[in-house]
Amino acid sequence: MTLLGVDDITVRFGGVIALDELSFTIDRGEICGLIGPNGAGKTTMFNVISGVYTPNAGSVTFDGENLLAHPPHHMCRLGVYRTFQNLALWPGMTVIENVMVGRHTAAKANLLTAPLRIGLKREEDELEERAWAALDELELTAYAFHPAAGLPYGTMKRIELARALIGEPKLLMLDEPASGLTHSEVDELADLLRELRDRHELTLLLVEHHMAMVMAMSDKVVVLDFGQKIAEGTPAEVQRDDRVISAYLGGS
Amino acid sequence: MTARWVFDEGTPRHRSYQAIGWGLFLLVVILVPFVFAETWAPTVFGNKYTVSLGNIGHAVAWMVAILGLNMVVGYTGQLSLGHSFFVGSGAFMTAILVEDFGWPFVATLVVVVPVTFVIGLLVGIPALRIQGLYLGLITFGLAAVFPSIIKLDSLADRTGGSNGKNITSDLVPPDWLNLEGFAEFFQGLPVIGGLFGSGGLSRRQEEAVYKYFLLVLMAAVVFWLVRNLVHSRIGRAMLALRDNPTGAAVSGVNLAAYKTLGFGLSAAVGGVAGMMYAATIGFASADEFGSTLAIFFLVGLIVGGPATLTGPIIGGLVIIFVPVWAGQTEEVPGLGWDLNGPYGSLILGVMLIVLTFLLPGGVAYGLRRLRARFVQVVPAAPTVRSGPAPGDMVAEPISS
Ligand SMILES: Nc1ncnc2c1ncn2[C@@H]1O[C@H](COP(=O)(O)OP(=O)(O)OP(=O)(O)O)[C@@H](O)[C@H]1O
Ligand SMILES: [Mg+2]
Repeated sequence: MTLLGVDDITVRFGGVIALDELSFTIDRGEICGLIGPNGAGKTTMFNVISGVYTPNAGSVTFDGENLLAHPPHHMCRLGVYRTFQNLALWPGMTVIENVMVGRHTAAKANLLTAPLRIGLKREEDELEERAWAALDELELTAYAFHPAAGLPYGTMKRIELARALIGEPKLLMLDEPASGLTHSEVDELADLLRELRDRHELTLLLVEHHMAMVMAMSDKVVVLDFGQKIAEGTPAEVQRDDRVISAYLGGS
Repeated sequence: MTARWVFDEGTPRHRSYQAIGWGLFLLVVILVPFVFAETWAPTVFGNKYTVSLGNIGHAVAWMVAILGLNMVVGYTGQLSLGHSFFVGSGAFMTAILVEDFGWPFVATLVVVVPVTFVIGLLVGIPALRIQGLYLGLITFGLAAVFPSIIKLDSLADRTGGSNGKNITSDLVPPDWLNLEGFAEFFQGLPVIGGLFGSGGLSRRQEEAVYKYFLLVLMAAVVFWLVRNLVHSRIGRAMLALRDNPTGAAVSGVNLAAYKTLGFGLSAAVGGVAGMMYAATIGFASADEFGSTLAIFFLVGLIVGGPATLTGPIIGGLVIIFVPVWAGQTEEVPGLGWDLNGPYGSLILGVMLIVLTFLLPGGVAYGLRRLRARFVQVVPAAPTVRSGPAPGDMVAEPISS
């Protein structure tokens, strides 16, 4: 059953066509790899789905909803979470606070209850416990009370993952989660992501330059080049595709 | 570098440490008015410096004002150079309600808080499209026009126009409160008794001490409310949008709403500070709330420490006492300079520049780092803190 439907999305930046009538769908529970050379438009696609960019044309449906009708801060409520290629953490907050922000939408404190501490202690305790559990799943509890600044790159990437997890996503979009990791760490990450998918019933959209990982993990792969979809299919199918081979080896 | 004392969060030892800290703070707060009931005027290097309860009360009001500014500048990271507008609005609303309509000071908050909150929200709306220096300019304009608005002919009846508005109603200590007795008790203490002057309190001093306690109590309540707010999802959302708006948005923070809210809260807390000012000074003048005061608030916040709660406390003291003492400095030992003139702002300016280089993050961060050398609190994992879940407990057979 289709969870995400991207239909004829076009994004232009001045003369650059970042996405050119791109269409694809992801089924519930699927892991979909989105690959392509540098500048192919992968991050742009994430930004469209998460409401950061408004496309020039096309539509995105999620769980039966018209996603483009929603501002970025509604995505959490709908169940769409993402991580960033270049990290979007808050260096001044501790790691656990960073993760707690991921549950902003589900938390309830308001302008009346928060200052008067009505139900605040309970909510904060619950948020901390959930954040702790998410950190635990990603083996990050040792950093929980450190400031998020100055941690290793791979660690910060996992903090972003924890921040997304705590919001109970339906669709989780990961922008190059394996960048900066060693080979054995990449394998661990792949195992971890599969476990998370099963345990939290996630649907994953995975952007990654690490081909072995994408091919091993994905149920389906969409290949972009210059904003256009040049192939779509199972890992085995796209690996055999002539256009994919030439996009990666020659031309661009 | 390891700290000298390490406490595990939540242990009895940690609690005692906290209790001692708060106890000492409370003690100082209680002793201060009795020490300064009679204006202190020590002579240092040939200059006579004063500390009066009037100045202290004024500083407490400005602590709250700076706390308000903190909501927008410190927590949501939007430049506001117009904070005196909100504080002034609060002061004049209180002055009018108390003087012309006979309301008690605190009751005026029922009007002051909602009205300033709404004004703040309205100012926050253009702030959604304008950022940085331009936002600074627009808000600066607000502060600049405030005195003229107050002096408008159509408002002068109520506001006192350029003469200012006197508030004759005063805060008089109730009969059951024996401040005199406290003063005599402190004066009778061995060794330190001399600090508290002699001969009990005059009627005027008693009122000043009483006013001080009321102001401190109000400030404590406002600081407590704000502390709770910034330690909730709302405070985290504000910091999140300040440091990484995109990350905040995809985590569900409505950027526009929180930016506007920052202005609203800032104005409402500023309004409370205005009420406190009116209560302690007993007079509101249009020119007091111009652009200079707005800059002073910002300087106080930056010197004290943005996005902290101790910062505004330090800032309030700094923007009152630095200019007062600077004005009282007439000679620098050994140099023989004649320092008569408006040196208060100059010294504040120099402090700002020096501190920005030496102590980025303000005095509050400096103090925090200093404390970290001596005291380290090891946070407890939430799982440890809450103990085993009820379901995990093994039922103990009741022994007969
Ligand atoms: N905000 C922007 N303004 C202008 N051009 C942009 C913007 N964002 C992306 N682009 C352009 O759109 C194209 C696609 O960029 P995008 O970041 O989506 O690529 P990508 O597939 O994520 O590449 P990489 O693998 O390097 O991350 C590039 O040509 C890029 O320069
Ligand atoms: Mg990218």
